[in-house]
Amino acid sequence: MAVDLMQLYTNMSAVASGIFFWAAFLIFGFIARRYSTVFKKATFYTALMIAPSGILLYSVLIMIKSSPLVKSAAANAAIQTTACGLLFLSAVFCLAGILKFNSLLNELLKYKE
Amino acid sequence: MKLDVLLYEAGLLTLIAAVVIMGMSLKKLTMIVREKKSIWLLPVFAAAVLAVSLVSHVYANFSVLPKLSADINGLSQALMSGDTQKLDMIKASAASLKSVLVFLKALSFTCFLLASAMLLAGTSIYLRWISK
Repeated sequence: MAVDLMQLYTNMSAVASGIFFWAAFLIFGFIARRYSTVFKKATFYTALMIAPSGILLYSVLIMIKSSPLVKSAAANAAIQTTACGLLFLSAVFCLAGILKFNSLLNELLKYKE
Repeated sequence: MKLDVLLYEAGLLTLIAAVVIMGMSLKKLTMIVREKKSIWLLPVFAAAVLAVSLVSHVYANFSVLPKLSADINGLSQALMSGDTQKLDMIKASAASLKSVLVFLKALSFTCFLLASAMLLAGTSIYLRWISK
């Protein structure tokens, strides 16, 4: 019973944190979009807003995996690997997007000085 | 080593790097809008918490799980030999390792949740500042 509850807790945490991460990166994308509009510089904000979708998909897949609909161990393993792969890809694209925006900010600060 | 574990850990490591750079960007963004509050520290703390999550995940997969597998192998050997004393010892060890694993998993995901909440708070506060 305690182990089941703990499992439920970890699944819920994984789902909630996936949604929070997705929202945080999406908001950061909105911020980049505003800077893009104001300073008329490319920030690749669209990529920055799309990139975290993998984190959201990770949450959705974890939810599907823990649902009673998936009973086969092979299907569970495939879902788990796909979810982790999406998380990895998403993190790589988020990093690339943030690096691009960060370099624009460096340019802006240099101009300000 | 399972592929999903490696992908998860590589993803988490990349996410830590992304969150650290997000913190640096947020610091520059606060300088641009001339705000005094150090909201950029939120992503930095989030990265530190994510690192704890990563360490607990790595420890569970590289240290605790192999010990548990060894216990399971020992269990089947003890069952075949009929050594009840050894069987009880291995059962107790496996049960304690299992509870360590459950604890580490809960710790890892709690850190993941905390980090994401801090990151969301940081970006939301900044968006509110520039939306005034």
